[in-house]
Parts: sequence; structure tokens; C-alpha cells
Amino acid sequence: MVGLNRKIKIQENKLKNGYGLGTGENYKPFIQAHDNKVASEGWITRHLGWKTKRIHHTLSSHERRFLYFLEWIEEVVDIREQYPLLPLSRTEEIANELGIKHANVEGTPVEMTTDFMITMKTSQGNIDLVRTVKPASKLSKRTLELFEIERRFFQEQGIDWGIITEKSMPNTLIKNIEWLYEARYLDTRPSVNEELISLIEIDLFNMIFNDHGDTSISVICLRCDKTFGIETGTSMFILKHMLATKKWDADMNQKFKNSNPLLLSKLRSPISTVHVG
Amino acid sequence: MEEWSDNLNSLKGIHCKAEYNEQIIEEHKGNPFIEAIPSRVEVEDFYELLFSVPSFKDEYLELGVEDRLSLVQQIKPMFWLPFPGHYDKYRALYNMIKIGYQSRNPLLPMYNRQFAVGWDRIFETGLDQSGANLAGNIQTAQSHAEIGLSGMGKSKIYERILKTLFPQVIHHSQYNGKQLLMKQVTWLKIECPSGKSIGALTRNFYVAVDELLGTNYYEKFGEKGGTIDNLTKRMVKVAAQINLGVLIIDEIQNVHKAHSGGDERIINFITELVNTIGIPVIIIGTFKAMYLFEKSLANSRRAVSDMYLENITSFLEENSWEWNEFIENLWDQQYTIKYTPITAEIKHTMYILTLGIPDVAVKLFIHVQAKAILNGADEKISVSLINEVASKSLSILQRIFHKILSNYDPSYLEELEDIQPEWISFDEYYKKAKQSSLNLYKKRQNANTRAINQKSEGSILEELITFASNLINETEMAESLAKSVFDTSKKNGDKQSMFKQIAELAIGLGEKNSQNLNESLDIRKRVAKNPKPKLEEVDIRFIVKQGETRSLTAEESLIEAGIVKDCNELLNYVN
Repeated sequence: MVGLNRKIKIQENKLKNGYGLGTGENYKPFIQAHDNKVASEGWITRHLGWKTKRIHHTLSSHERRFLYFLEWIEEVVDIREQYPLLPLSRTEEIANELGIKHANVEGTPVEMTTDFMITMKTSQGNIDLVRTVKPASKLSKRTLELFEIERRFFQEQGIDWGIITEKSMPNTLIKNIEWLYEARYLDTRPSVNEELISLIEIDLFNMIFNDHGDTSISVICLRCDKTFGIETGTSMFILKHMLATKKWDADMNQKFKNSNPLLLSKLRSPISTVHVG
Repeated sequence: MEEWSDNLNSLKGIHCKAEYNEQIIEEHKGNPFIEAIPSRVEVEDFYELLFSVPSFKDEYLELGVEDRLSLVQQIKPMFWLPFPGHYDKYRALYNMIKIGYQSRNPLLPMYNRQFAVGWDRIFETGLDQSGANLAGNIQTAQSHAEIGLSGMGKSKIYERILKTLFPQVIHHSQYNGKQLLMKQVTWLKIECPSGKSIGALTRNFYVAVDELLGTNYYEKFGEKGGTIDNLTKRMVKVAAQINLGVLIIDEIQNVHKAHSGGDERIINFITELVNTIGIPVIIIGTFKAMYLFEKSLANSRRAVSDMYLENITSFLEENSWEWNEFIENLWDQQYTIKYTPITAEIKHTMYILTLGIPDVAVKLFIHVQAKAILNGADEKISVSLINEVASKSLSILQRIFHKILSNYDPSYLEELEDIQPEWISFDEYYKKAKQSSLNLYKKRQNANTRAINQKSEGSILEELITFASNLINETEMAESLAKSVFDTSKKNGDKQSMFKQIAELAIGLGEKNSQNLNESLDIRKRVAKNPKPKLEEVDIRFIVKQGETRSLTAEESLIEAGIVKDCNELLNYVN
């Protein structure tokens, strides 16, 4: 019963804080308290989304990592996590047809949610896709039942539905996105602004590019900081920012590390498609 | 407005796909429920759309007595005249529905949050001081009470407006390029069952929803017992789920004080419905229901503030524009050989005898015409004939009408509600017409068919089976199909419609494989209490089970089936 109370508590707290479900710009995920959707302790994380410009909530490290991946794909235009399966009566009907117990709290059916509703821009216009993230070890009988309800629900709507396990995620790419994630927005580092970037970007690029991978990037960036007499760490931040905004390009499948050298590709205008894997 | 399907025409209101109209009012913009409500009709169109008279052709006058008697009977269902006051009701109703949806926008987090919290809990908790419910939503719904004499057309005006000017079910599928799979029931009308409790009222509600949407709420909730609190809570939940625009509860005077605190509870119930989940409610009743408003509403008014708009309709005044318009139009509907023009004397007589109650006036006029037709010769309608008919069939009412007209006292109106005028049934006129009337009455006709069916049940079933066998190869299948159609016809359906049903089912069956045949026979079987888990080939559970036999892990099986996907697979959607 302790577990159940905790679930209800989480729901109530979320309510009090004004979190709910919805769509579009106002989308606020509601973390649903049912047996498939409770955050493992310590994994609720918040990120300012690149696509949505709002805070994203993830309930597990796997979800967080998948979110990084989605942020990197240029064609992903909207991400709605903890997306509700509405109306409740439909999922109830499906559960009923399948002889499966619907997600519930104390026997009262509650709305089901799926991890990610993804909107992608294609040549045929925007399409919606659903991906739900689950570690392979947690594909229990109950999870499979709830997933079957989800699958049928979205099949009816003609929405592609699939599961992502930890093994199907490109680890290096995701680690790299994580490494540069916060640098997307300039206000995460108060001393940096557009003007400063425009003043040193070409020199910094040339310093790294002309090094041909001999020196670790932390050393090159420190040299740059010193040369221009700017705050230590600024050049590293600018490097991350240029990569995060895709103004500079590097092989995302080589692990980025401060102590490693980095091979930058040519300076170029923002790209439309990123090839990964 | 696109009609949903021909098969659904038998249902009460129209089903349609959502079409979104641009809104002028800021609060209405960006709400698919509001934008899907058809635009308001102008007053001229309103009259045009709602005006209805029975058909009339010159040839009709050549017809025999019996045929013309049937035509006369058509006056009652067909004759309907919109009054200026009706447009006010339409305007009020229209605004009520839209305003009610203001607080229920499926695109806003608030809407969904209410579902997530659970209506039970919202209903239990009620409202806080700011008028917000547990999910923080402040409701915008209003209610409206319509009180009047029976026969004034209180229910009918709402029915006509709703049926003619509002689709009953709007099916949403897409809104601004985003999926929006929802059904919106714009209106639902239920009746208060006579002398019963709120429980029976909620059961009527489930039946109405099920008939409309093909759901099984009655089975799920209606048969379930429970305290009145539980019954009403469940109903509130269903009302929220179907996105109900307005609920009309008719014959509210039938709620009995005696039944489990009936009057108090019904008003509390309505108040909660309006305040807590925001569904507008219209209650319609006769003067007998006044006590509900005098006592209970006064109590609840503090909570309800000025949300109740009351509308009390009394009888029409003799010199009113409405009465004159009404009686003159009615008078045109004559199927007698000779047309009798209306005179001031006739008007006055009709008024005295009917107190200007439209329903009573129509009935009296029908009877007068029938009598005139039967009298033969030139079939003339006269004041003395009207008096003669009224004295026979309206004698009890006359005494009260007289009291009301000579000394107006509202308490007489209540007395009026208790009296069922003994109308000479139309049957009598047919009998007098010395015609065999057997096949003229639907009731009789049904009774007749039922009798014939019982006699020849075997032979009809045989015919049906032969017919089904021609369509389906498997004899066993054909037999069970024929039998199920025959059984569901309750043995009173005519053969033609049974043949049709068999044909439709057989065509449907052709598209499915034979294993599923039994299921399609009866939809109810599919929602039986403990259905066997149905494992399709694409069912995740099935895939994993199959994989286990090859000692694959769940993940491996699902990868093989393409359900567990690689992240990069997303890029396949990018060209």
C-alpha cells in the first residue's frame, strides 16, 4: 500500500504545481500514476527543450537519453512526452475486448499515457509517431499487456507506434548530445553573447581545424581563452554552442571529450539533415 | 454538414463529422467543441426551418372518408408553428451550449487533467471558494428551467430546435492538423420516469447514450446497483466522457418527494452536474414541478448564483398575436370536402374550449374535422359542432377552464395537470366509418404480425434459413444467422426487414474469415462480461509467446516483429 500512496501523492503534487496534459504550445505533461508510469527515484529530470522551448520531463535515464536523440534530429519539430491516450473510454474498451485489466488506481480506471508523441516534418507534411521507451529487462507480462492496448489504440488512428529499448539507442551520439546540450542557449553562460562569438569564432575554428587532431580540445580552448584574454572556459562553451546549433560539424559517432582532440568539419550554414549511425 | 451514415438515420439526431467555424468571441476561439457547433441561424431562416404543416393536395379531397380520416390524423404530428418567443429559446440554448463548452476545451491541459484526477474525486470534492473544482477548472455552464402547462409544447420546441438546428453527435478526427479523436454529443434529452427515483433517471440516461453511440453503459452501469450517490457519480462521469453539450431532463415533475428524498436530491444532483463538471442542464416540467423551484432551488440558489434562468409559460391570451396566428394557421388544415373559413365566433369558441393550449386545440380540431367528415353531406364545421365534440371529449377540462377564465388563480393550473382528458380515441371514428380498420393501426398491425408469426414461426424461420443459405455456403452458419435475426426481431419485425438484415450481415461476413463468424452475429457477445483474450498475430503478447517457444527473449521477438525499433529507424520517415 505504501507504493500506491506514493503514486497518488506524486499525482497530487503534480496537480498542485500545475502540471497536466495537453497539446501544442501549452503542452504540459502529466505524470500519470498507474502501474506502468512511475518514475524510478531520482530520475525525474528537466530540460529546456530545443524544439519546444519548454521544460521537458523525463521519468527515467532511458527516456532522457531518447529525448536527447530526438532533439538532435532536425526533422523532429515537436515532442510531447507523457502523452495521454484519450478518451479513456476507448482504452477501456480495448482493454475489455482483450480481456486485459486497464491501468487503474484503486480499481478506478485512469488515463493511460505513452512516453513520446513525436511530430516529424516530412516532404508529405507533418506526421505523428509514437515511441515508448522501456529497458528490455522490464518487458514484463503486465507491461506487454499495457503496450498492446497502446499499440491498438494508435493503430486505429493510423499512427506508427514502437518500443525503444536501451540497446537500440546510439550511445556515442547521445553522449555527445548530452555533452553539448546546455550550450544550445547562450543565457546558460552569462559572459557569452552573439557579439563575442562573432569576434572569435573564426579564430577558434581555425585553431581547432588546423591542429588536425593533435591536441586535446581543452588545451586548444584554454589557449584561445588566454590569447583573447577572456574568461576561462568561454572558448569551450562557444565550441559546444557552435556544435549544438549545428553551425560547426563534427563526427557525432566519435566520442567527444574535453581531454580528446576533435576533428571539426568545414564551417557551414545550418544543415537540413543529419546523418547518424 | 456531412451526414455520417445512412444506417444511422433511424437514430434521433444527426451524426456528422466536425467542421470548424471561425469564432468571433475571443473565449470561443481555438476550442474545437465550440468551433464545431454550426453557425447560428437568422430569425427568418429559423421560421423557415421550423415551420411545418401536413401535406395537402387538391386530389386529397377526392379521397374516401377513411383516407381523409388518416390525413386528419397527420395534423397532430405535422402541424407546428414557430413563435417569436421560440427564437429567444433558440438563442438561449445556442449560447448555453457554447458557453458550457468554454470551460471544456480538449486542447487545454485543464480538460485532460480533470480526466486524470478522476470525476469521482472531483464530484466528491465539489468546488472551492473560487468556484474551481479539484482540477482547478472553473465551470461556465448555466442551467435553465422551463415550466409550463402540459400541451404548451415546452418539450417539443426544444426537440425541434435541437433536431433541426444542431447535430446530435459530432465526430472529431483532426483539428489544425493534429489528431483529435473525440465524439461530442451536443445534446441529449431524457425523461424523468414517473414516480421513480433518481436511479431510474440515470438508467434512462445510459439507455439514451447507448442508443446514440452504440456503447454499453447501461450494461456497465445501469444494471449495477448502488446508492444514489454512486449512481449519479457514474452518470456524471459518462456525461463528461461523451463531452455532452446540454442535458435536457423532461417531465421533471415526475420526481417524487417520497423517493429517497427525491426533490432535494434531484436539485442537488442537477446543481452538481452544472457546477462541478460544467454541463448545462435544461429542466422541463409542468406547474406541478414548481415546488422543486420554490423550495429546493431557493436553497441552492446561493450556490448557483444567477445561473438559473427560469422561464414560465402559461396559456396563451385570447387577444394575443400568438393565439390568432396559431388558430388561423391551424384552421387551414382542412380535409373536409367543403372548406369552412374561420370566423371571430369560431376563434372565440376554440379559445374558450381549449384555453389556448396548442396541444388541446389541435386535438379538438382533429376531432371536430373527423366528426364533420363522418356527418357527411358538405362536411361543414360549425360552432355547434365544435361545442358538441368538446362537450363529449373535453367535459372535465371545461369545468376548470371555466374557473380559470372567470377568476384567474394559478392554483387551478396545478389542478389542470392532474386531469387526463378522456379523448374519444380515433378508433371510434374509424369504426363509425364502418370500415375494416385492422390494417390502419400500427399497434394493431404489430399485434397482428406477432400473432401470425407465432402461428407460423417455423415456416418463417424456414424461409429465412433458405434465404441465408443462398448467401452463405456453410449451412450451420446460415441457420444460426437466420435464427439470431429472427430472435432479435422480437418476433414482430416484418419479413422484408429480416431478409434485409440477413443480407447485410451475410455481406459483412464475407469479408471476415470463418473463425470470427460467430462474433459478428451479435455485437453484444463481444462486450460480454468476461471475454476470452483475443490474440491476433500482431498482438504483442502473442509475438512474445511465440518467441518463447524458440527461446527468444521478449526483446528479441519484438525486434524481429519490428515492434522494438532502432532509434535511427525514425529517419526512414525523412526523405
